[in-house]
Amino acid sequence: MHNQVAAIVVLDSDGGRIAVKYFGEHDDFKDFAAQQKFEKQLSEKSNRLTGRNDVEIMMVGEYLALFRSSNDVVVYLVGEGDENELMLLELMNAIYQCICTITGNQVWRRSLLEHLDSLFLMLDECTDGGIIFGTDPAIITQRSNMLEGEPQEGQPFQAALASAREHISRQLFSQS
Amino acid sequence: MNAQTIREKITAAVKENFKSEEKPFVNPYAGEKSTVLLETRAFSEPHLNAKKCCHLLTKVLYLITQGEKLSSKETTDLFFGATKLFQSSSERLRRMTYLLIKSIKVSETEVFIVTSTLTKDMSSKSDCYRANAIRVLSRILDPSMAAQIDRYLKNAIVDKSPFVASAAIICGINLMRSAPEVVRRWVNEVTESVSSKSPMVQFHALGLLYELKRNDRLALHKVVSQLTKSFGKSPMAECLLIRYATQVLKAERDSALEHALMDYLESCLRHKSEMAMFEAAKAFCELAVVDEQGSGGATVFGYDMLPALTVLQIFLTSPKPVVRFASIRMLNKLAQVRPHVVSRCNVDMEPLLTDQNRNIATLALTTLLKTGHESNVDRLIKQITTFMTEISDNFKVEVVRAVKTLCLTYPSKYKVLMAFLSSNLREEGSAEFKKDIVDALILLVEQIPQAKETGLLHLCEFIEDCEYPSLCTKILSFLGNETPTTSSPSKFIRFIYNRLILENALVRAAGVDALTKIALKCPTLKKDILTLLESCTTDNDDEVRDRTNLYCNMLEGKMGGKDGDLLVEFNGVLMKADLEFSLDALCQTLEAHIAAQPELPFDVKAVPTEEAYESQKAAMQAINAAKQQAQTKAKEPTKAPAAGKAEAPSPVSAPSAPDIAAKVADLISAEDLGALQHSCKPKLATESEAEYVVQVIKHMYINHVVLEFVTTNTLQDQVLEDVDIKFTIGDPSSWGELGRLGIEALPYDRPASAYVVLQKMHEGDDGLRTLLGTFQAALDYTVKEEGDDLGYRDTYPMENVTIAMGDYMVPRHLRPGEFKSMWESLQQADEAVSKFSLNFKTLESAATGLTTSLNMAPCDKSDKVDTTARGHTLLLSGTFIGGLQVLCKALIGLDQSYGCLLKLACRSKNPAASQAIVHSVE
Repeated sequence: MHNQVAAIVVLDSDGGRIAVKYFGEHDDFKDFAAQQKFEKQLSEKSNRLTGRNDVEIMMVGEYLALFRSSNDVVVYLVGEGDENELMLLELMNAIYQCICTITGNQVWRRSLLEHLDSLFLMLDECTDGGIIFGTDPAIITQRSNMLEGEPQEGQPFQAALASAREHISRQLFSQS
Repeated sequence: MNAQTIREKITAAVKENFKSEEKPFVNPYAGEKSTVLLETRAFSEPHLNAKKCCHLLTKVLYLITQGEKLSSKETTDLFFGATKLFQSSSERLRRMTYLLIKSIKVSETEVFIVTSTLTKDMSSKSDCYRANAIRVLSRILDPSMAAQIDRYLKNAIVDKSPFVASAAIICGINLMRSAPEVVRRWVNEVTESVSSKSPMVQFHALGLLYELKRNDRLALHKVVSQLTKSFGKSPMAECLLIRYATQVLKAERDSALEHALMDYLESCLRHKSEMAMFEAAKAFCELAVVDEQGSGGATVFGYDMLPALTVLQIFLTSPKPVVRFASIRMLNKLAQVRPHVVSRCNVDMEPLLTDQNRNIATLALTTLLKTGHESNVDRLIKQITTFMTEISDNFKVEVVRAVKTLCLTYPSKYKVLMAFLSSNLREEGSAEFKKDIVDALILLVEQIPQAKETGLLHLCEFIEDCEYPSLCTKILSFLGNETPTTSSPSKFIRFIYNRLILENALVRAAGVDALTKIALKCPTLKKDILTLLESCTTDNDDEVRDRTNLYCNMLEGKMGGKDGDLLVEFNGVLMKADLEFSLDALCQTLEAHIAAQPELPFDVKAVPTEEAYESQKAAMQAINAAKQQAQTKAKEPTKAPAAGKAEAPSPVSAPSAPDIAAKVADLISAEDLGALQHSCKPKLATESEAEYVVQVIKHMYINHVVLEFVTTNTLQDQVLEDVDIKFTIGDPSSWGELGRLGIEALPYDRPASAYVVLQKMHEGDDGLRTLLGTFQAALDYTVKEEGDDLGYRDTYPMENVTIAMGDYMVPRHLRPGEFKSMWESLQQADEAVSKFSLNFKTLESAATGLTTSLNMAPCDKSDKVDTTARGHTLLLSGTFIGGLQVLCKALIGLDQSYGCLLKLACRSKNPAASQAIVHSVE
């Protein structure tokens, strides 16, 4: 079974690494220097597409790169060039949703670093060696916390509140 | 309180909330490598502090993320430390420990320390422990260990917890690389899991099942077609199945299977999930690339593409950028093979030109350039101009290519398209990019008569300020050829003259050439040009000065007497566009000449023409490819004698074509054999699945033919010895056998060659030496089976070897549009024409049959037959033995009462050859 995912990369807006995961035996990612070069390309190319509140997409070399930027953080999902974009989108949405849960909807570099352990575990639960392992945010979160049984529906009220708070503050900042 | 003050208050409150932002933030997990590693000693403390250890593990993982490399000793220490953490009962700590072990490279000799702990976790009551333990094991497992825990894993695959099941299946996928035989035993469990309730387990199980079956064709077909019939797959599993079905369709052409799978793909276009709908549409597009029969049309394997296109078309208007991108990317690919089909989406692609995501906009643009309608060209060009500064050079080259094709499709739009190309010549860009544009302009000038002057003026403008001398000289030479036929050549002379004053020697020389050519063709301008050339008669550069002086003398007609004859000849050479011989061949022959006999004068006539040289090369390449194929077929690729020969450089004339000549040196000397003209494509003389496979290659010489029988023994337990070719000549008055060369021993799967040298006994009626003939041939050999020393003599029949007119011909591919000009340049007087009635049922089969029997290359896509028409014109081009360029025009018609009728016209510089070719059709 071939890999769907070539890399997951979480960078800050200056291109600095927060967390990365590379899969497969690509020459393009064979060592740290090659990975840095690739991340620089990612960061430069995505900066040109000014962040809107949605998952964006581009080609970087032969790879498909989906990304979602939020405040001073950009999350990239890199797939093989011939992969189904919509399949990757499902995983991307799951990853972003999980990141929101981890940071309590404050997706900033700072809060990600504060919850670095949860971020690492979450990335480990959504892929295994480049194969998509989970696309249900509730299940991913539950598994990274070693919780047994069927996933619960999360905390809808708190989640709604958090997203409302984020929404209001963003509007205020954009106007001021 | 008004709204403004409320907003201010809230802003202040929110800012207060975020105040912590302003304090300098220190990443709690950052640290020096040495310090962090020192801290990990805490792992060995008797009372483990789970929280602290988790924090430390995160620090280590962050170090690795930042690109720190751990030495093997550091890794070992860390690993041993981490194994101690299994004593803790903290779940969080356990989870982090699993992650750490997966993130470092554990040495194979140390792995055993954790395996027992992990196996214990595998039988734990907690699903999380079990799944995680399997996931860690799947990273560090070696084949022998895999066999030990085989039973555990087998049960885990059908575990009721999806987490455990997925982990075990992925472990199986990983093990397929190292221990496939273990995984093969799980096939029943994996099949069961494909119908699991969990969408992820379905997805993983299907992936593994495919891996298990992929090498067994029939089993794979069965599994795929069975699964396509069952319902209730998760979207991701459905995508995988669509992909596998597509692969089967690409590999196999079995009508029943094809029908079932295409039905399935079509039904997936109506799937409830977008992901699977897209995958199915994608499958249709990919198959459209493969399906040659439906090429150009709107069907794939007989299924209409419209539903798939409709899916893509709907996706084009999706609010999600990723969905729009996916769809336009697919359409872009499809437009390369079937632009007409894609053009029905034009209405929905055009709005994407202003998409906020630039990547989507550029894809839309390049797609529209391929599918665009004439009425949109102006608007498109306006759009591209805004793009060009932002896109990469690679993409620019693609745009230029697309614009070029667009212009050839809609010649009336040449003005705006050429203006676009020319404006890009003035912009920044790589040399490669500029060259592409210049080539495009030159092609357009050649192809579109009304665009000639505009195009030439664009080129002239460019050389006014061009930093690449090679492009400059190219354009100057083109101007020299083209301007004399324009309405006012004098308009262009100024541009060329400017180069004479302003440029370096290379360009000046080209300018002088161009001016002279114009002067020779336009006598009215001769006087003016002579005045212009005057300035260069005293040029600093020797080459430029000499050329100018020579040209001036020539133009003024100063050379008389013997020089006059020279002048005529020289004039001819200068005016001719092509040399009479191949430059590469000249180089090669000269080198051979200097090495062999430097004292003798060199004769240019011995150098083959460009066509003859190219055809020799092509023939050698075809043979090499065939031989290499035979080589790779062999299970133990050993260097058979044929391989050494195949790598030899292409022969030019006898001394440098030593291989065949050397092989048959005992039978005929290289001088008597002469130069190799070309070698025909290998042809099977036995069934390809036969016990002994023989391919015949005909090497054609002027007076001889060398038949090479490349023989392969496909029986593993046999050796053939004293292999000889039994050869019977039907017409001894035409052909004589000079001798044969057998194969001493022919072991299993090592192809070797036997030879027969034939001599032409007369020149033929037309003096062309293109004799035809049919020969009976058989293999004659001693078979020795394993352990048998004596063996016995046996023969093996082959198909007859024929030498037909087509064997004297090599297909020669022409550039689009080239046929017409070449056809007209050959004299109509030398044309040979004849009419025939043929036994073909359709136009298509007649066209293919004629192309094959004449062994010529179809030109200008005339091999594509419009099946609805009653007649068809086929244009063919080839190189006849001796390097003679031959063109044929065949009018084929279907008539109800007369059947298939053909009028064949053939032109070449040798009327006898044209006649012979036409009559060979009878």
